Amino acid sequence: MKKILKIFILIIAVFFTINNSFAYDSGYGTQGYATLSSGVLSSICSAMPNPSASSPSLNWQIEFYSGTYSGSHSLIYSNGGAVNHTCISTGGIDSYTLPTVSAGNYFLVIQYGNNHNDTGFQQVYFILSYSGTTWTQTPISETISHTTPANSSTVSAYVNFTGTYNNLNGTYDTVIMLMEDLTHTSNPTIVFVCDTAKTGANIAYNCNYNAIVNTNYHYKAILWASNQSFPSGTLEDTSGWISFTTNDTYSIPQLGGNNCGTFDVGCYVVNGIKYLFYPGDLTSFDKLNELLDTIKNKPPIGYISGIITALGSIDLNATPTLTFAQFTPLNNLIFNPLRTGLSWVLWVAFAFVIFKRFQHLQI
Amino acid sequence: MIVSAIITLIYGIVFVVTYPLRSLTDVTMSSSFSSSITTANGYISSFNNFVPLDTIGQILTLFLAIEGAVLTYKLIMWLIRRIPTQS
Repeated sequence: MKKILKIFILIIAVFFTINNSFAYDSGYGTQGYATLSSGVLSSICSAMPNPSASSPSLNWQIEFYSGTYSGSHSLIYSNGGAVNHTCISTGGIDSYTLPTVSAGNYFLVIQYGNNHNDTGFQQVYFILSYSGTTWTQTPISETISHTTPANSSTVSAYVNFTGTYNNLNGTYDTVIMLMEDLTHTSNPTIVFVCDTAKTGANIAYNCNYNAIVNTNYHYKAILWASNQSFPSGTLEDTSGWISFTTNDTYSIPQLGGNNCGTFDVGCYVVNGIKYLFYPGDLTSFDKLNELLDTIKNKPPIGYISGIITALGSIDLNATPTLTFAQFTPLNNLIFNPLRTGLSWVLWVAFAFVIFKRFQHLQI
Repeated sequence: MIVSAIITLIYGIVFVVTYPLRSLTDVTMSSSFSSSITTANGYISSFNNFVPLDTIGQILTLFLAIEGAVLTYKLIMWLIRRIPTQS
């Protein structure tokens, strides 16, 4: 009885650990992303720095990239004194410019309402930007179509751009790239983020996105430089700046989750078990695959692989060495009918052998 | 988590067991081997004009698959019979 009680307490502890990690897995900083569990009041905090002497006032801009969420966001901001808030409605992409402030160390909280009815986990991507009164930069965005071919599970989006994005002091800006799947809005993971700390000129980004095979996608790529000292330069896209390649790699299925009632312990256990078996990342699969590829070329396995490959290259319809076999009238009149007849004989003989085999099978 | 752990464990075992193999250089088949395959290909193709080699290949594959299935079944049943109280 004690053992059962211990196991039960352990399961409950594991569940609450998992549940809390889902609910408050928040991203911090001026750009990032977070996965928020639906039905749970969650927030993302970002402390904003003090205005500098050269920029006494700040224009704040916030942009959301959320999934299937159809409710409203609450944007709460404060400088440590009075707390102000505003609502930003709808999901998808929202942009909001905060009022100009003169001084203070502000913080922002992005808060989901607690009355929405959607299911699953919400992925929220956000960019908090601020600049002086000469805020000029706008993100580059372009909508493109791409059909994901069969035999591929991962789409790699590649983007290359040029521009004068490094600041005047020689410090490079941090640039973020977002890819949004505009087609499959029912998929919670409709937005994915590429590297966020690329520096240097002519940056190439590679995004990996687990796509549904043989399906037409419409993507929107957004490129944003968020460094506070971002100069007045522009990010310039080049012709054909986004291209796609596909990789036949393993893909991780989406981690599902049930909305559990407060005392629905069984539901919690199911969610916990789902989480335990969730692969998490593809590193282990990829490493094993890479290792097996390496071994395949080493002796003695390499000789067997080589022989199998060589035998696989044998083409029965290749040009025959014997000249009389290339003589078409002879083939049409004699060899082809003979060959067809022989095929029938072989199949019938095989059926007979199999029949006798099963007739006398000792299991 | 568990799936990743199992895969990582398998990776670790394979990594250790195959360590001596991985220290060897890659196998390169000699050119004479590939040329012999090419030569044989011509004769096999000629022979295919008279005898349906593709049909023979299909029949042989099916036969081996059936025999393999029977053998697997017998093996599983043999293992089950090793369990005490199972006859």
